[in-house]
Amino acid sequence: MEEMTREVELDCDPERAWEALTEESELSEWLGGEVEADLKPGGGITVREEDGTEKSGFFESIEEEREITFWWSAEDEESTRVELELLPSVEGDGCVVRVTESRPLIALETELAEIASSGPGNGPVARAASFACV
Amino acid sequence: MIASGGPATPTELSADLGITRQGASKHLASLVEAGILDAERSGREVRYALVRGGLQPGSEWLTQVGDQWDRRLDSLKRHVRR
Repeated sequence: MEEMTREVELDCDPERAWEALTEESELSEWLGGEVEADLKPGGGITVREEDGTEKSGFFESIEEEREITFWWSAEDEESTRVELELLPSVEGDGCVVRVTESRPLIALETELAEIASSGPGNGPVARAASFACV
Repeated sequence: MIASGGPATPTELSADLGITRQGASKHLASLVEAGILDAERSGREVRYALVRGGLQPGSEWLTQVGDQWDRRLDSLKRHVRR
């Protein structure tokens, strides 16, 4: 499964960082043009850019002051999963935000295509299916 | 063909595709280098099979999404600065 991770050191305390990660007016300052966010599991998130493109999705989980996970996609594109973690700083009195974006659905789709065309492979979906047939 | 028929040797592929065996081998080698195919030696033959997920432009996605997050996190850093 493909995933990428980035980190940034922030010059502010964790409470301020959490605000910036969770309030619509704050998110609109850095995440994208205009952000609507209903911050609860299953709540919607929409990010509208100045050029008119839009990504939307939903929150998977929120761990107060620690982590936010959501899925999103642009129209007609795969949904990807974003994890935003708030971490203490190693030195100094700031904090760290780590983001991981992954594309779990692509690996599943490829595996299903292989099974459909050439018979069971070795991936988790094929193994689960073989148990079901016993 | 590898996607639908499973792993294949250059000889099998070139016969099916109507190209020379050398042509098939060269093409296959560049697909291995691109991370789309895996090469497996079995006796005197080499069999080529799809890397799982290898048909997706993975490195393209990683670069594009990485750049997007670099920009966003840069904005975030400037936005919260004391």
